[in-house]
Amino acid sequence: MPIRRASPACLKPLPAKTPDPVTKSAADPAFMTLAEAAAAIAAGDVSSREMTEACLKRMTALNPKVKALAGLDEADALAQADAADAARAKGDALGALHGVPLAHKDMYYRRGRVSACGSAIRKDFRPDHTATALQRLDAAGALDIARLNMVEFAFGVTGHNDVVGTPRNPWNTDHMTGGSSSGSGVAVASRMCFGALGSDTGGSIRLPAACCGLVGMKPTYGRVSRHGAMPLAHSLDTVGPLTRTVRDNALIMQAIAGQDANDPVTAGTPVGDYLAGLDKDVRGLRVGLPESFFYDGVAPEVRTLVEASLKVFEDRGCEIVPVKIPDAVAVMNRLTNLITATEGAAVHSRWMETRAADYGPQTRARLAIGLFTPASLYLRVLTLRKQLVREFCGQVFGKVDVLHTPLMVMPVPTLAESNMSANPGFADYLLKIGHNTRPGNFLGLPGLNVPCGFTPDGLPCSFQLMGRPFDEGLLYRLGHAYQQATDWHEKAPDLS
Amino acid sequence: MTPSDTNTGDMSALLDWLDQFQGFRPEDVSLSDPAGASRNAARAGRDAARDLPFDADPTGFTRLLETLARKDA
Repeated sequence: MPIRRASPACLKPLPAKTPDPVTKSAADPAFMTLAEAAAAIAAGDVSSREMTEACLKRMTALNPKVKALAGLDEADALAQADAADAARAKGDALGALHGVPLAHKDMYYRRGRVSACGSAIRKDFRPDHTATALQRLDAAGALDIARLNMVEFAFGVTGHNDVVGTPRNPWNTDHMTGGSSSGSGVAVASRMCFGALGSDTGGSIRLPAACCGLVGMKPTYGRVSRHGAMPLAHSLDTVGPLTRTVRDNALIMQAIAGQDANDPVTAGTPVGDYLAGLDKDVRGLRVGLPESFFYDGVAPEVRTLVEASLKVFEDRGCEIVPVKIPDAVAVMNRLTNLITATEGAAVHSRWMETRAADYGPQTRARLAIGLFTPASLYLRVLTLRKQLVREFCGQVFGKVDVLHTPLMVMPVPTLAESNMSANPGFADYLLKIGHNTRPGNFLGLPGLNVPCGFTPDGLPCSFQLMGRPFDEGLLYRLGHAYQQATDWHEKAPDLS
Repeated sequence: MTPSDTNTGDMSALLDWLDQFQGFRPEDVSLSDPAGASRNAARAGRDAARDLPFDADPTGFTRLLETLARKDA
């Protein structure tokens, strides 16, 4: 597919129809990046308490409008901040995220604290252990100041939740947030916290990141431990961060990545130094332009912005290389759904038997379908997966270093357009939303979502970089190079 | 057809859902005979999987990804 050269929209002022976003608010520390906040706390320029108070103030003021929060204990958040400030005052060794307020999708278990997983069934569930990812963030000094809303049991890509309520997109509250890490996307974009964990089984980190104008990393399968994270589909589930910049994302990933005896699928492959690699030269790197599949059905306004982002890479000295995509990628979207429904049904089979009425109708129906999958069919799909990832890596990454694609092929839909419950005949529509994300889950490959502008309706638009297994560092390097040349990541929604 | 907006007890909805997985639709199903349809679906799955190795261990998938990682990093 020949690339249609577009004007570099990212280097121009926003179109006249776009709402005027806030670029910076020097007076409010919540508008710092995570990296800036960590540096300011470490230097003593601002305290963790001041940072936390700024975030709590925004949570209190904005949550009625955007519905990002699943749970908030302000006294606990401030106690964490005071402990961080006390440790710094004592001269204790500080982690890379010391004193920085984060908040996470409400499916990461912390011992003794409710983790409702966006559901009624688990509204009082208090786990007896803490997720490995949270333990590692704790060790890096980060605060965990709130639980964030999510799709019921993480089973959905639009952000709708019929059980506990649907978060709103901070760029336009009539539009969907993307899911399933809906609250994570909303909270970080609304400057309620400096970063958040999401989880990605079919696009659930990258889609809310794209819809909310954030950076989202779906790491390689096995790169980050899922221990203590609510399972959806064990063959596909991944853990990763949503942040406002690539550097911020790398900071969190550096803290959480690596092997864990409690999650047997984690890899022994060493974790690279993501931060050290950020500023390395990108000249000569081969950025793949897919000749098929990833631009199927792409909206013209999305194509324009994504192609403009490719031009930025070209201007930075990258080589843009058209690359043929294996035909088999066309079925990966549906095969990912099959694995998710089947493994999800296995996880939920007991509650489906005893508490079916407590599920939302969408979740219940999709889980019921998974119960019907013949075991032999499921095993055949997993076998095909291994064949297809070999083929994909050989054909694509034998020619290029990364693959550059639109993240969503459509502008961010409205809540009404994307409401499965209210609209019959939406299976194809939902497949279209995850068209460019689910292949990465099926193949186990890393994918980085990077914002690249706004469509004429004022909603964010993003591209995706896909890489070889365990090549998160290269994706960060290229994403950071893009953000050094553009300023989309500095825009904030006006929620006043 | 969207599974969520149909009756979950509706056999046709389930079969339509399977139909989305192209190439895997079981043949010879009858909506008037759900048990028979289930047997046929299982048989179709077995046929589809014939001659393929048992290879569904997710930890094995991680090991495969490690072999496909960049070698010059």
